Amino acid sequence: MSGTGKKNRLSLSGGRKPPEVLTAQGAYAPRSGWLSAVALLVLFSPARAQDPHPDDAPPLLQPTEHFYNALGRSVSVEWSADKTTVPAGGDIAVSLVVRGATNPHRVRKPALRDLPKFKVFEVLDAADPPAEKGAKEVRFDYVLRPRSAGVTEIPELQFNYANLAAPEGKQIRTTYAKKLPIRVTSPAPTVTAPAGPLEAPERFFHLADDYREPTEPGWPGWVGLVFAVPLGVVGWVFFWRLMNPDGVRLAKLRRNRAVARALDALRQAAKSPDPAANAAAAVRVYLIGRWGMPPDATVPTEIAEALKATDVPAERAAAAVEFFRKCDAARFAPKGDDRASLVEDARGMILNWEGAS
Amino acid sequence: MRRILSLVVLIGSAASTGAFSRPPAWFAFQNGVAARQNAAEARPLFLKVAADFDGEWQSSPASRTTGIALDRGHAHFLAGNLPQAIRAFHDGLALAPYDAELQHSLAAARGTIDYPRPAAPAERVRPDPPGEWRNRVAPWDLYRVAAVCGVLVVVGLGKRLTTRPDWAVPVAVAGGLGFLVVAGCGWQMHRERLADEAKPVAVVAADGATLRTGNGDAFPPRVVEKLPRGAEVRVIGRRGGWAQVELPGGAVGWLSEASLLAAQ
Repeated sequence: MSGTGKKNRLSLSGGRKPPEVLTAQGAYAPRSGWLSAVALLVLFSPARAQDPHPDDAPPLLQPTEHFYNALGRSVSVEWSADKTTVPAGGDIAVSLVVRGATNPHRVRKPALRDLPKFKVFEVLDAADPPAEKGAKEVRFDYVLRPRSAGVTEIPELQFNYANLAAPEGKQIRTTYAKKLPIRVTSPAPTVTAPAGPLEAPERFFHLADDYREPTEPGWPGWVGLVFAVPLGVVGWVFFWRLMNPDGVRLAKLRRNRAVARALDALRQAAKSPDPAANAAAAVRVYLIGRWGMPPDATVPTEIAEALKATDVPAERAAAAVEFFRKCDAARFAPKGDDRASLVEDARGMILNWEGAS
Repeated sequence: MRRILSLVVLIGSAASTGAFSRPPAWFAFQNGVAARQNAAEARPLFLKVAADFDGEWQSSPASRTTGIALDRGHAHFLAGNLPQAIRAFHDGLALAPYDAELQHSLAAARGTIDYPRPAAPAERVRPDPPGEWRNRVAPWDLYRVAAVCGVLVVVGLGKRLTTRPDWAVPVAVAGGLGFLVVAGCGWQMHRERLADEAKPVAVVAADGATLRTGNGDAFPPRVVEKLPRGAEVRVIGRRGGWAQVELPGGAVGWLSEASLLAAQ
């Protein structure tokens, strides 16, 4: 179909081959005569029943998107509204004004319901004022109801028109009705004041006590805490070494469990009621754990014999036996040695043997 | 001297709680409380106070405190604006989910709503009480616990590297485990915050809102019962003036955006 449509008129005479008609098998079969021509005209020529209006755009242009049959050299469109503020749930009456069309009475009303941009509105029907041929403008009225308070404008509307004086292929021109800002206000709450006192949980009649802005440690605080731990450990060790110059050697010494236990036991022995007995027991446990002395050696003579079988040098073994004799003397002799000094002697002996003193 | 000292203590305590920064609407609120025996006289007063508190909330980010949120909610509730009150409480809980006052006020407001009985568990409209880690633990509390664990680690490791007592390693291990627990709590709270931000809360503004299966009035209802005024839903998406929402029970449907109050 093209142009004015007259070329598509079928001639019933003139020697044209009769048209084909679809059969039940789906194949086209030739038919001849008036009947087939009439059938063809009725079934396949709807344009035959509706001749294009002389003031309409050519049928070829009709399917163009956003084309509303407007003709003219320079057509303009704009929105106009009776108000730009509407309460939520309320309606706003707007008009689309088309100017410059040479066929104002034939311009079609844009269906806003079908346009995606206008989905934010509920488009209600509104009667349009009649457009007369030759009028300078044509108005299309709409009633729009914003669906939410977030609607801020009547969207821009693309309006294509045809300038038939332009070369073929460049006849479609585009203009826009610019968007119109609107404001949707919140509905005023209905204050229904019942008679009598205001009933509500008691806590609602009190205001807050604290208006400080809530704070959080934030990532610098957490990062600082994570780094503070290793720094704290390093600092602890540093200051400990600073305050205890011999501390390293003593710490190494305490790595030996038997030595550590003996020193702890001697520390406790000094405070005990019988320091001599506890000191002797501590040294005995030390010899068993550190040097492998048999545990059944309890008296000095047995200890002397037992130490011969170990790696303890002879002079050290003699010193140990002498220590145990002093302890026995302090415990059982009428006038024994100072029991407190025996603890110091034991400690000094162990440190000496371990090379820490 | 004693008087001066007590005055200094009073000023200090007032300053520490921000009492000197009370908004002007605070005093208007007290007028409303004084008129509480006459609802017809009190409600308009609270309505104005609520508008003033809303303005205070909107004026600047610095004025958005849990105290203002609580006052907004109370004023709106006493003015009869239940949805706005619930929204205000949610605004405050977005700042401090652990705030007990806001949680209690929100629970009290919810207690005045007649939630419909659901036909299925997914259609439950009554919201769950706050039970996430964010609602129970404040970030500063977590920080203090982490600091104590850090001290344990420092002491334990320091002793282990110096005098090596027997208790050094257990103490350091306890501190380390405490750190791990704190990290786990922090991670869970972070996940909860992200989930909360992905689905913001909106409040139904008026009775009779119908949850539909699609974004249009032509779609059939998703649930039989209409949503009551003040019901809380979580917004999943928006399209064409409609919001896809999730009920507390889990059912998903569409509500018109005009029927919802979103958090500010």
